[in-house]
Amino acid sequence: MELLKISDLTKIYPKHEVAAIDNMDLSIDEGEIFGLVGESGCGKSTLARSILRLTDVERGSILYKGDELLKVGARKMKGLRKEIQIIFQDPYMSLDPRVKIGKALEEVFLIHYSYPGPKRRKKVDELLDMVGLGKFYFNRLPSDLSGGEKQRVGIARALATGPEFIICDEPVSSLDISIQAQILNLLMDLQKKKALTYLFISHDLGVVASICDRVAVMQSGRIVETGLCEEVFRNPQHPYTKKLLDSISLT
Amino acid sequence: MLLEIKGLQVRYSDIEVVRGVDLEIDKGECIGLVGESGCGKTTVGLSITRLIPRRKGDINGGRILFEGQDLLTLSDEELRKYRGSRISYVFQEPFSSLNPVFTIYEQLKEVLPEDDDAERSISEALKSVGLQELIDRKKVYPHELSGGMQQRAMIAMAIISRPDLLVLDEPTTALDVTVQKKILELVMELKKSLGLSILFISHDLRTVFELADRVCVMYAGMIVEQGAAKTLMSRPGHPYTKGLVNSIPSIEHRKQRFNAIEGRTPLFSELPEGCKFYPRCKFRIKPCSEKEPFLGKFSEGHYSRCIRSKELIAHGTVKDI
Repeated sequence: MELLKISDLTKIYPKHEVAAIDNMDLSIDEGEIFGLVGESGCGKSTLARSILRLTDVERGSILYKGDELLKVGARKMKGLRKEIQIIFQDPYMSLDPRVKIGKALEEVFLIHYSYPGPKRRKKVDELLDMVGLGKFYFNRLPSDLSGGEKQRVGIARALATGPEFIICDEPVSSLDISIQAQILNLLMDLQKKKALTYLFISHDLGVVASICDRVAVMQSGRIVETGLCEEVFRNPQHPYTKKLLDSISLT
Repeated sequence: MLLEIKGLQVRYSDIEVVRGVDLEIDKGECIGLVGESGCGKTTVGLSITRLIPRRKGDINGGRILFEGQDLLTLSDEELRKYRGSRISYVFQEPFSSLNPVFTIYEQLKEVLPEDDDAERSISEALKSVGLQELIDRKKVYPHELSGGMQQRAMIAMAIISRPDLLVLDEPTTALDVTVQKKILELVMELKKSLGLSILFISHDLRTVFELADRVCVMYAGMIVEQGAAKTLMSRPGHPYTKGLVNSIPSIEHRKQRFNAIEGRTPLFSELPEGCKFYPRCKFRIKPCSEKEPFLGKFSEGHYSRCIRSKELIAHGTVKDI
Protein backbone atom coordinates (compact mmCIF):
# COMPACT_ATOMS: atom_id res chain seq x y z
CA MET A 1 0.00 0.00 0.00
CA GLU A 2 1.14 3.49 -0.81
CA LEU A 3 2.35 5.42 2.21
CA LEU A 4 3.81 8.52 0.62
CA LYS A 5 2.98 9.94 -2.76
CA ILE A 6 4.80 12.92 -4.19
CA SER A 7 3.59 14.52 -7.38
CA ASP A 8 4.78 17.46 -9.47
CA LEU A 9 6.94 18.68 -6.61
CA THR A 10 9.05 21.72 -7.47
CA LYS A 11 11.36 23.64 -5.20
CA ILE A 12 13.34 26.63 -6.40
CA TYR A 13 16.03 28.33 -4.36
CA PRO A 14 15.46 31.98 -5.23
CA LYS A 15 19.13 32.98 -5.42
CA HIS A 16 20.04 30.32 -7.93
CA GLU A 17 16.90 30.29 -10.01
CA VAL A 18 17.41 26.61 -10.73
CA ALA A 19 14.95 24.06 -9.53
CA ALA A 20 16.50 22.00 -6.72
CA ILE A 21 13.54 19.69 -7.19
CA ASP A 22 12.08 19.74 -10.65
CA ASN A 23 8.55 18.36 -11.17
CA MET A 24 9.23 15.28 -9.17
CA ASP A 25 6.95 12.26 -8.84
CA LEU A 26 7.68 9.52 -6.36
CA SER A 27 5.72 7.00 -4.37
CA ILE A 28 6.82 4.91 -1.43
CA ASP A 29 4.99 1.80 -0.25
CA GLU A 30 4.35 0.85 3.32
CA GLY A 31 7.06 -1.35 4.82
CA GLU A 32 9.67 -0.91 2.15
CA ILE A 33 13.16 0.54 2.19
CA PHE A 34 13.18 2.98 -0.66
CA GLY A 35 16.62 4.16 -1.76
CA LEU A 36 17.36 7.55 -3.25
CA VAL A 37 20.79 7.95 -4.81
CA GLY A 38 22.53 10.82 -6.50
CA GLU A 39 25.58 13.03 -6.20
CA SER A 40 25.94 16.09 -4.00
CA GLY A 41 23.71 18.94 -5.03
CA CYS A 42 21.20 16.81 -6.90
CA GLY A 43 18.42 17.72 -4.48
CA LYS A 44 18.16 14.60 -2.33
CA SER A 45 18.35 16.41 0.99
CA THR A 46 16.04 19.17 -0.20
CA LEU A 47 13.48 16.48 -0.87
CA ALA A 48 13.88 15.16 2.67
CA ARG A 49 13.44 18.63 4.08
CA SER A 50 10.38 19.28 1.93
CA ILE A 51 8.62 16.15 3.14
CA LEU A 52 9.14 17.24 6.73
CA ARG A 53 8.04 20.78 5.88
CA LEU A 54 11.42 22.08 7.01
CA THR A 55 11.52 24.06 3.81
CA ASP A 56 8.77 25.52 1.62
CA VAL A 57 8.22 24.36 -1.92
CA GLU A 58 6.92 26.19 -4.97
CA ARG A 59 4.25 23.74 -6.01
CA GLY A 60 3.24 20.12 -6.01
CA SER A 61 1.74 17.66 -3.62
CA ILE A 62 3.02 15.35 -0.90
CA LEU A 63 0.38 12.90 0.26
CA TYR A 64 1.08 10.95 3.42
CA LYS A 65 -1.61 8.33 4.09
CA GLY A 66 -3.95 10.55 2.11
CA ASP A 67 -3.13 13.74 4.06
CA GLU A 68 -1.74 16.59 2.00
CA LEU A 69 1.38 17.51 3.97
CA LEU A 70 1.77 20.78 2.15
CA LYS A 71 -1.66 21.94 3.28
CA VAL A 72 -2.21 20.56 6.79
CA GLY A 73 -2.34 23.04 9.66
CA ALA A 74 0.34 23.43 12.30
CA ARG A 75 -1.51 21.35 14.90
CA LYS A 76 -2.08 18.43 12.56
CA MET A 77 1.49 18.66 11.34
CA LYS A 78 2.80 18.39 14.90
CA GLY A 79 0.86 15.15 15.22
CA LEU A 80 2.20 13.91 11.92
CA ARG A 81 5.74 14.69 12.97
CA LYS A 82 5.46 11.84 15.44
CA GLU A 83 4.87 9.51 12.53
CA ILE A 84 7.47 10.95 10.18
CA GLN A 85 10.99 11.17 11.54
CA ILE A 86 14.46 11.78 10.20
CA ILE A 87 17.98 10.55 10.89
CA PHE A 88 20.69 12.96 9.75
CA GLN A 89 24.14 12.30 8.38
CA ASP A 90 26.24 13.96 11.00
CA PRO A 91 25.10 12.76 14.40
CA TYR A 92 27.41 15.19 16.14
CA MET A 93 25.86 18.23 14.50
CA SER A 94 22.39 17.12 15.50
CA LEU A 95 23.23 16.85 19.21
CA ASP A 96 23.71 19.77 21.59
CA PRO A 97 27.25 19.34 22.96
CA ARG A 98 26.24 20.52 26.44
CA VAL A 99 23.19 18.33 26.88
CA LYS A 100 23.53 14.81 28.23
CA ILE A 101 22.31 12.06 25.93
CA GLY A 102 19.51 11.04 28.29
CA LYS A 103 18.25 14.60 28.69
CA ALA A 104 18.29 15.18 24.93
CA LEU A 105 16.15 12.09 24.41
CA GLU A 106 13.82 12.97 27.30
CA GLU A 107 12.95 16.19 25.55
CA VAL A 108 11.03 14.27 22.90
CA PHE A 109 8.74 12.82 25.55
CA LEU A 110 8.27 16.19 27.14
CA ILE A 111 7.38 17.99 23.91
CA HIS A 112 5.20 15.38 22.29
CA TYR A 113 3.67 13.58 25.28
CA SER A 114 4.19 15.76 28.40
CA TYR A 115 5.22 12.66 30.35
CA PRO A 116 6.29 13.16 33.98
CA GLY A 117 9.98 12.74 34.87
CA PRO A 118 10.12 9.09 35.98
CA LYS A 119 8.13 7.92 32.98
CA ARG A 120 10.39 9.87 30.64
CA ARG A 121 13.43 8.25 32.23
CA LYS A 122 11.96 4.80 31.78
CA LYS A 123 11.15 5.49 28.14
CA VAL A 124 14.66 6.78 27.47
CA ASP A 125 16.20 3.68 29.07
CA GLU A 126 14.08 1.53 26.77
CA LEU A 127 15.21 3.51 23.75
CA LEU A 128 18.88 3.28 24.68
CA ASP A 129 18.49 -0.49 24.99
CA MET A 130 16.69 -0.70 21.68
CA VAL A 131 19.60 0.88 19.79
CA GLY A 132 22.20 -1.22 21.57
CA LEU A 133 23.61 1.43 23.89
CA GLY A 134 22.23 0.57 27.33
CA LYS A 135 21.07 2.85 30.11
CA PHE A 136 24.50 3.79 31.41
CA TYR A 137 24.74 6.11 28.41
CA PHE A 138 22.07 8.31 29.99
CA ASN A 139 24.55 10.63 31.69
CA ARG A 140 27.12 10.81 28.90
CA LEU A 141 27.79 13.89 26.83
CA PRO A 142 27.92 13.73 23.02
CA SER A 143 31.69 14.33 23.15
CA ASP A 144 32.14 11.08 25.13
CA LEU A 145 30.65 9.08 22.28
CA SER A 146 32.20 7.67 19.13
CA GLY A 147 30.65 8.42 15.73
CA GLY A 148 28.78 5.13 15.67
CA GLU A 149 27.41 5.63 19.18
CA LYS A 150 26.26 9.13 18.31
CA GLN A 151 24.43 7.80 15.29
CA ARG A 152 22.74 5.27 17.58
CA VAL A 153 21.53 8.22 19.65
CA GLY A 154 20.26 9.84 16.43
CA ILE A 155 18.34 6.67 15.67
CA ALA A 156 16.98 6.48 19.23
CA ARG A 157 15.73 10.05 18.94
CA ALA A 158 13.99 9.27 15.68
CA LEU A 159 12.36 6.18 17.20
CA ALA A 160 11.17 7.95 20.34
CA THR A 161 7.79 8.97 18.97
CA GLY A 162 7.05 5.53 17.54
CA PRO A 163 7.18 6.64 13.90
CA GLU A 164 6.03 4.65 10.91
CA PHE A 165 8.09 6.44 8.32
CA ILE A 166 11.75 7.42 8.76
CA ILE A 167 13.82 9.45 6.36
CA CYS A 168 17.43 8.35 6.65
CA ASP A 169 19.54 11.13 5.13
CA GLU A 170 23.02 9.67 4.56
CA PRO A 171 22.93 7.96 7.95
CA VAL A 172 26.18 6.03 7.55
CA SER A 173 28.22 8.31 5.31
CA SER A 174 30.47 9.68 8.02
CA LEU A 175 31.12 6.32 9.68
CA ASP A 176 33.97 3.87 9.39
CA ILE A 177 33.19 0.74 7.45
CA SER A 178 32.91 -1.68 10.39
CA ILE A 179 30.66 0.79 12.24
CA GLN A 180 28.69 1.43 9.05
CA ALA A 181 27.92 -2.30 8.90
CA GLN A 182 26.76 -2.26 12.54
CA ILE A 183 24.44 0.70 11.96
CA LEU A 184 23.04 -0.81 8.75
CA ASN A 185 22.35 -4.01 10.68
CA LEU A 186 20.56 -2.02 13.38
CA LEU A 187 18.46 -0.13 10.81
CA MET A 188 17.51 -3.37 9.05
CA ASP A 189 16.64 -5.10 12.35
CA LEU A 190 14.47 -2.19 13.50
CA GLN A 191 12.72 -1.97 10.16
CA LYS A 192 11.71 -5.61 10.36
CA LYS A 193 10.79 -5.55 14.05
CA LYS A 194 8.66 -2.43 13.86
CA ALA A 195 7.46 -2.72 10.28
CA LEU A 196 8.95 0.68 9.46
CA THR A 197 9.15 2.36 6.09
CA TYR A 198 12.41 4.08 5.18
CA LEU A 199 13.33 6.65 2.60
CA PHE A 200 17.03 5.90 2.51
CA ILE A 201 19.06 8.72 0.97
CA SER A 202 22.67 8.02 0.09
CA HIS A 203 25.37 8.73 -2.44
CA ASP A 204 26.85 5.28 -1.79
CA LEU A 205 25.44 2.86 -4.34
CA GLY A 206 26.88 -0.13 -2.53
CA VAL A 207 24.97 0.70 0.64
CA VAL A 208 21.72 1.33 -1.23
CA ALA A 209 22.14 -1.86 -3.27
CA SER A 210 22.62 -3.95 -0.18
CA ILE A 211 19.67 -2.79 1.92
CA CYS A 212 16.97 -1.21 -0.29
CA ASP A 213 13.95 -2.80 -1.97
CA ARG A 214 13.38 -0.14 -4.59
CA VAL A 215 15.59 2.70 -5.69
CA ALA A 216 15.30 6.03 -7.50
CA VAL A 217 18.26 7.71 -9.14
CA MET A 218 18.24 11.48 -8.93
CA GLN A 219 20.11 13.98 -11.09
CA SER A 220 19.71 17.76 -11.05
CA GLY A 221 16.38 17.70 -9.25
CA ARG A 222 14.83 14.97 -11.36
CA ILE A 223 14.35 11.26 -10.96
CA VAL A 224 16.00 9.73 -14.00
CA GLU A 225 15.36 6.10 -13.23
CA THR A 226 13.42 4.13 -10.69
CA GLY A 227 12.66 0.47 -10.10
CA LEU A 228 13.49 -2.60 -8.08
CA CYS A 229 16.99 -2.31 -6.68
CA GLU A 230 18.14 -5.53 -8.22
CA GLU A 231 16.92 -4.60 -11.69
CA VAL A 232 18.20 -1.04 -11.66
CA PHE A 233 21.65 -2.09 -10.52
CA ARG A 234 21.97 -5.16 -12.71
CA ASN A 235 20.45 -3.67 -15.79
CA PRO A 236 20.52 0.13 -15.66
CA GLN A 237 18.65 1.94 -18.43
CA HIS A 238 19.48 5.59 -18.00
CA PRO A 239 22.98 6.77 -19.02
CA TYR A 240 23.42 8.57 -15.69
CA THR A 241 22.66 5.40 -13.72
CA LYS A 242 25.17 3.59 -15.89
CA LYS A 243 27.75 6.27 -15.22
CA LEU A 244 27.18 6.06 -11.47
CA LEU A 245 27.44 2.29 -11.44
CA ASP A 246 30.47 2.41 -13.64
CA SER A 247 32.24 4.70 -11.22
CA ILE A 248 32.11 2.30 -8.30
CA SER A 249 34.11 -0.33 -10.11
CA LEU A 250 37.41 0.90 -11.39
CA THR A 251 38.61 -2.02 -13.41
CA MET B 1 63.69 -0.71 -2.55
CA LEU B 2 62.66 2.95 -2.77
CA LEU B 3 61.30 3.34 0.73
CA GLU B 4 61.78 1.16 3.77
CA ILE B 5 60.05 2.02 7.01
CA LYS B 6 61.46 -0.01 9.87
CA GLY B 7 59.98 -0.28 13.33
CA LEU B 8 58.40 3.18 13.19
CA GLN B 9 57.08 4.44 16.51
CA VAL B 10 55.26 7.72 16.99
CA ARG B 11 53.92 9.26 20.19
CA TYR B 12 51.39 12.02 20.66
CA SER B 13 52.26 13.42 24.09
CA ASP B 14 52.54 10.24 26.17
CA ILE B 15 50.49 7.98 23.99
CA GLU B 16 52.06 5.75 21.41
CA VAL B 17 49.89 5.78 18.28
CA VAL B 18 52.22 4.08 15.82
CA ARG B 19 53.60 1.07 17.58
CA GLY B 20 56.27 -0.42 15.37
CA VAL B 21 55.32 -0.29 11.69
CA ASP B 22 57.37 -1.90 8.93
CA LEU B 23 56.52 -1.04 5.37
CA GLU B 24 58.34 -1.25 2.07
CA ILE B 25 57.61 0.37 -1.23
CA ASP B 26 59.39 -0.64 -4.39
CA LYS B 27 59.91 1.57 -7.42
CA GLY B 28 56.74 1.93 -9.45
CA GLU B 29 54.67 0.12 -6.86
CA CYS B 30 51.36 1.18 -5.32
CA ILE B 31 50.99 0.20 -1.69
CA GLY B 32 47.62 0.58 0.00
CA LEU B 33 47.42 1.42 3.68
CA VAL B 34 43.93 0.87 5.04
CA GLY B 35 42.35 1.04 8.43
CA GLU B 36 39.61 2.86 10.28
CA SER B 37 39.88 6.38 11.63
CA GLY B 38 42.39 6.71 14.40
CA CYS B 39 44.40 3.61 13.53
CA GLY B 40 47.52 5.65 12.78
CA LYS B 41 47.60 5.41 8.99
CA THR B 42 47.80 9.16 8.37
CA THR B 43 50.51 9.46 11.01
CA VAL B 44 52.60 6.86 9.16
CA GLY B 45 52.25 8.88 5.95
CA LEU B 46 53.20 12.15 7.63
CA SER B 47 56.17 10.57 9.41
CA ILE B 48 57.93 9.80 6.14
CA THR B 49 59.03 13.42 5.76
CA ARG B 50 58.63 14.27 9.47
CA LEU B 51 55.54 16.39 8.95
CA ILE B 52 54.05 15.75 12.38
CA PRO B 53 53.93 19.10 14.18
CA ARG B 54 56.45 19.15 17.03
CA ARG B 55 53.94 20.39 19.56
CA LYS B 56 51.66 17.45 18.77
CA GLY B 57 53.97 14.54 18.77
CA ASP B 58 57.24 13.04 17.74
CA ILE B 59 58.80 10.00 16.16
CA ASN B 60 60.52 8.12 18.91
CA GLY B 61 61.76 5.01 17.23
CA GLY B 62 62.51 3.33 13.95
CA ARG B 63 64.11 4.27 10.67
CA ILE B 64 62.77 5.62 7.41
CA LEU B 65 65.13 4.73 4.60
CA PHE B 66 64.61 6.50 1.31
CA GLU B 67 66.99 5.04 -1.25
CA GLY B 68 69.04 3.88 1.72
CA GLN B 69 69.21 7.33 3.38
CA ASP B 70 67.61 7.50 6.81
CA LEU B 71 65.36 10.56 6.65
CA LEU B 72 64.97 10.64 10.41
CA THR B 73 68.64 11.50 10.92
CA LEU B 74 68.75 14.39 8.45
CA SER B 75 68.78 18.04 9.49
CA ASP B 76 65.74 20.13 8.58
CA GLU B 77 67.82 21.79 5.89
CA GLU B 78 68.77 18.48 4.28
CA LEU B 79 65.27 17.09 4.59
CA ARG B 80 63.94 20.01 2.59
CA LYS B 81 65.58 18.47 -0.50
CA TYR B 82 63.16 15.57 -0.17
CA ARG B 83 59.97 17.24 0.97
CA GLY B 84 57.74 18.20 -1.91
CA SER B 85 60.40 17.39 -4.49
CA ARG B 86 61.32 13.72 -4.12
CA ILE B 87 58.37 12.86 -1.90
CA SER B 88 55.11 14.74 -2.26
CA TYR B 89 51.64 14.59 -0.83
CA VAL B 90 48.00 14.94 -1.84
CA PHE B 91 45.56 15.25 1.04
CA GLN B 92 41.84 14.79 1.47
CA GLU B 93 40.37 18.27 1.22
CA PRO B 94 41.85 20.09 -1.77
CA PHE B 95 40.31 23.37 -0.73
CA SER B 96 41.99 23.38 2.66
CA SER B 97 45.34 22.46 1.11
CA LEU B 98 45.23 25.26 -1.44
CA ASN B 99 45.91 28.84 -0.43
CA PRO B 100 42.76 30.86 -1.20
CA VAL B 101 44.58 34.17 -1.78
CA PHE B 102 47.02 32.98 -4.44
CA THR B 103 46.21 31.89 -7.97
CA ILE B 104 46.69 28.27 -9.00
CA TYR B 105 49.48 29.45 -11.30
CA GLU B 106 51.35 31.18 -8.46
CA GLN B 107 51.00 28.14 -6.25
CA LEU B 108 52.35 25.83 -8.95
CA LYS B 109 55.24 28.17 -9.60
CA GLU B 110 56.17 28.25 -5.95
CA VAL B 111 56.98 24.54 -5.99
CA LEU B 112 59.57 24.94 -8.77
CA PRO B 113 63.20 25.90 -8.29
CA GLU B 114 63.92 29.46 -9.43
CA ASP B 115 66.03 28.51 -12.43
CA ASP B 116 63.34 26.26 -13.86
CA ASP B 117 61.48 27.14 -17.03
CA ALA B 118 58.31 27.72 -15.04
CA GLU B 119 56.08 28.46 -17.98
CA ARG B 120 56.86 25.14 -19.65
CA SER B 121 56.82 22.99 -16.52
CA ILE B 122 53.49 24.42 -15.44
CA SER B 123 51.80 23.84 -18.79
CA GLU B 124 53.14 20.29 -18.83
CA ALA B 125 51.92 19.59 -15.32
CA LEU B 126 48.49 21.09 -16.01
CA LYS B 127 48.23 19.08 -19.21
CA SER B 128 49.12 15.84 -17.51
CA VAL B 129 46.36 16.26 -14.92
CA GLY B 130 43.76 17.23 -17.50
CA LEU B 131 43.59 20.93 -16.68
CA GLN B 132 44.70 22.21 -20.12
CA GLU B 133 42.05 24.89 -19.91
CA LEU B 134 43.99 26.59 -17.11
CA ILE B 135 47.22 26.97 -19.06
CA ASP B 136 46.27 30.36 -20.43
CA ARG B 137 44.20 31.42 -17.47
CA LYS B 138 46.84 32.52 -15.01
CA LYS B 139 44.46 34.51 -12.84
CA VAL B 140 42.32 31.60 -11.69
CA TYR B 141 41.89 31.26 -7.92
CA PRO B 142 41.10 28.00 -6.10
CA HIS B 143 37.49 28.96 -5.30
CA GLU B 144 36.70 29.25 -9.00
CA LEU B 145 37.32 25.54 -9.49
CA SER B 146 35.13 22.57 -8.65
CA GLY B 147 36.29 20.09 -6.02
CA GLY B 148 37.50 17.67 -8.68
CA MET B 149 39.46 20.39 -10.48
CA GLN B 150 40.96 21.57 -7.20
CA GLN B 151 42.16 18.06 -6.52
CA ARG B 152 43.65 17.91 -10.03
CA ALA B 153 45.47 21.16 -9.27
CA MET B 154 46.81 19.60 -6.06
CA ILE B 155 48.01 16.60 -8.02
CA ALA B 156 49.69 18.91 -10.54
CA MET B 157 51.45 20.59 -7.65
CA ALA B 158 52.52 17.23 -6.28
CA ILE B 159 53.99 15.92 -9.55
CA ILE B 160 55.45 19.12 -11.00
CA SER B 161 58.72 18.50 -9.20
CA ARG B 162 58.90 14.96 -10.60
CA PRO B 163 58.83 13.14 -7.28
CA ASP B 164 59.68 9.47 -6.84
CA LEU B 165 57.11 8.85 -4.15
CA LEU B 166 53.58 10.21 -3.98
CA VAL B 167 51.70 9.88 -0.71
CA LEU B 168 47.94 10.05 -1.26
CA ASP B 169 46.02 10.46 1.97
CA GLU B 170 42.30 9.91 1.31
CA PRO B 171 42.61 11.81 -1.99
CA THR B 172 39.02 11.25 -3.10
CA THR B 173 37.05 11.02 0.14
CA ALA B 174 35.61 14.52 -0.18
CA LEU B 175 34.59 14.09 -3.82
CA ASP B 176 31.52 12.73 -5.60
CA VAL B 177 31.69 9.17 -6.90
CA THR B 178 31.89 10.01 -10.59
CA VAL B 179 34.64 12.54 -9.87
CA GLN B 180 36.40 10.05 -7.61
CA LYS B 181 36.72 7.63 -10.43
CA LYS B 182 38.27 10.21 -12.73
CA ILE B 183 40.81 11.29 -10.12
CA LEU B 184 41.81 7.69 -9.40
CA GLU B 185 42.15 6.94 -13.10
CA LEU B 186 44.36 10.00 -13.42
CA VAL B 187 46.56 8.87 -10.54
CA MET B 188 46.99 5.42 -12.05
CA GLU B 189 47.86 6.91 -15.43
CA LEU B 190 50.49 9.14 -13.84
CA LYS B 191 51.88 6.19 -11.93
CA LYS B 192 52.48 4.45 -15.24
CA SER B 193 53.70 7.38 -17.29
CA LEU B 194 55.97 8.85 -14.63
CA GLY B 195 56.98 5.58 -12.97
CA LEU B 196 55.72 6.90 -9.63
CA SER B 197 55.66 4.90 -6.45
CA ILE B 198 52.50 5.48 -4.47
CA LEU B 199 51.50 5.11 -0.87
CA PHE B 200 47.71 5.12 -0.99
CA ILE B 201 46.19 5.76 2.42
CA SER B 202 42.45 5.31 2.68
CA HIS B 203 39.59 3.92 4.69
CA ASP B 204 37.84 2.98 1.45
CA LEU B 205 38.66 -0.69 1.12
CA ARG B 206 36.97 -1.17 -2.20
CA THR B 207 39.15 1.43 -3.89
CA VAL B 208 42.37 0.35 -2.23
CA PHE B 209 41.80 -3.30 -3.07
CA GLU B 210 41.30 -2.38 -6.71
CA LEU B 211 44.25 -0.06 -7.11
CA ALA B 212 47.04 -1.26 -4.86
CA ASP B 213 49.58 -3.90 -5.74
CA ARG B 214 49.92 -4.78 -2.08
CA VAL B 215 47.73 -3.80 0.85
CA CYS B 216 48.63 -3.23 4.51
CA VAL B 217 45.82 -3.30 7.05
CA MET B 218 46.38 -1.26 10.19
CA TYR B 219 44.70 -1.61 13.56
CA ALA B 220 45.56 0.25 16.76
CA GLY B 221 48.87 1.55 15.48
CA MET B 222 50.20 -1.66 13.96
CA ILE B 223 50.05 -3.51 10.70
CA VAL B 224 47.93 -6.59 11.34
CA GLU B 225 47.98 -8.00 7.84
CA GLN B 226 49.83 -7.43 4.62
CA GLY B 227 49.50 -9.08 1.22
CA ALA B 228 48.23 -8.92 -2.32
CA ALA B 229 44.75 -7.39 -2.55
CA LYS B 230 43.30 -10.60 -3.98
CA THR B 231 44.65 -12.70 -1.15
CA LEU B 232 43.28 -10.37 1.51
CA MET B 233 39.86 -10.30 -0.15
CA SER B 234 39.47 -14.03 -0.66
CA ARG B 235 41.63 -15.60 2.05
CA PRO B 236 42.33 -13.06 4.76
CA GLY B 237 44.54 -14.33 7.57
CA HIS B 238 43.49 -11.82 10.21
CA PRO B 239 40.00 -11.73 11.73
CA TYR B 240 40.01 -7.92 11.50
CA THR B 241 40.65 -7.99 7.75
CA LYS B 242 37.97 -10.63 7.42
CA GLY B 243 35.52 -8.44 9.34
CA LEU B 244 36.31 -5.44 7.19
CA VAL B 245 35.85 -7.40 3.97
CA ASN B 246 32.53 -8.72 5.29
CA SER B 247 31.40 -5.15 5.97
CA ILE B 248 31.79 -3.94 2.38
CA PRO B 249 28.27 -3.36 1.06
CA SER B 250 27.52 -4.55 -2.46
CA ILE B 251 24.79 -5.72 -4.76
CA GLU B 252 25.91 -9.32 -4.28
CA HIS B 253 24.93 -8.97 -0.65
CA ARG B 254 21.22 -8.23 -0.87
CA LYS B 255 19.08 -7.63 2.21
CA GLN B 256 21.19 -9.65 4.58
CA ARG B 257 22.68 -8.60 7.87
CA PHE B 258 26.36 -7.81 7.64
CA ASN B 259 28.70 -10.16 9.41
CA ALA B 260 30.07 -7.10 11.15
CA ILE B 261 32.79 -6.57 13.74
CA GLU B 262 31.28 -5.89 17.14
CA GLY B 263 32.31 -3.04 19.41
CA ARG B 264 34.51 -0.09 18.62
CA THR B 265 38.18 0.57 18.10
CA PRO B 266 39.95 0.89 21.45
CA LEU B 267 41.37 4.20 22.61
CA PHE B 268 45.16 4.27 22.50
CA SER B 269 45.17 5.09 26.19
CA GLU B 270 43.19 1.94 26.95
CA LEU B 271 44.75 -0.69 24.71
CA PRO B 272 44.21 -4.22 26.00
CA GLU B 273 47.00 -6.61 26.88
CA GLY B 274 47.93 -9.17 24.26
CA CYS B 275 46.38 -8.93 20.81
CA LYS B 276 44.81 -5.49 20.47
CA PHE B 277 41.91 -6.83 18.45
CA TYR B 278 41.14 -9.61 20.90
CA PRO B 279 38.16 -7.99 22.72
CA ARG B 280 36.26 -7.64 19.40
CA CYS B 281 37.43 -10.88 17.81
CA LYS B 282 35.02 -13.70 17.06
CA PHE B 283 37.78 -16.25 16.94
CA ARG B 284 39.55 -15.33 20.16
CA ILE B 285 41.00 -17.98 22.42
CA LYS B 286 42.66 -17.67 25.79
CA PRO B 287 46.27 -17.09 24.69
CA CYS B 288 45.15 -14.09 22.60
CA SER B 289 44.75 -11.97 25.72
CA GLU B 290 48.20 -12.83 27.02
CA LYS B 291 50.73 -12.05 24.35
CA GLU B 292 50.69 -9.76 21.35
CA PRO B 293 51.21 -11.96 18.30
CA PHE B 294 54.02 -11.17 15.86
CA LEU B 295 53.57 -10.60 12.14
CA GLY B 296 53.95 -14.13 10.77
CA LYS B 297 54.60 -15.07 7.17
CA PHE B 298 52.04 -17.41 5.62
CA SER B 299 52.99 -17.39 1.96
CA GLU B 300 55.15 -15.23 -0.29
CA GLY B 301 54.31 -11.65 0.58
CA HIS B 302 51.41 -12.56 2.87
CA TYR B 303 51.87 -11.65 6.53
CA SER B 304 49.37 -11.70 9.36
CA ARG B 305 49.46 -10.89 13.06
CA CYS B 306 47.20 -13.55 14.54
CA ILE B 307 47.84 -16.91 16.17
CA ARG B 308 44.93 -18.43 14.28
CA SER B 309 45.85 -17.12 10.83
CA LYS B 310 46.92 -20.52 9.58
CA GLU B 311 43.50 -22.07 10.28
CA LEU B 312 41.72 -18.99 8.96
CA ILE B 313 43.61 -19.01 5.67
CA ALA B 314 43.24 -22.75 5.17
CA HIS B 315 39.53 -23.08 6.01
CA GLY B 316 38.15 -19.57 5.72
CA THR B 317 37.07 -19.93 9.32
CA VAL B 318 38.26 -21.57 12.53
CA LYS B 319 36.92 -24.29 14.78
CA ASP B 320 35.66 -23.22 18.17
CA ILE B 321 37.88 -24.40 20.94
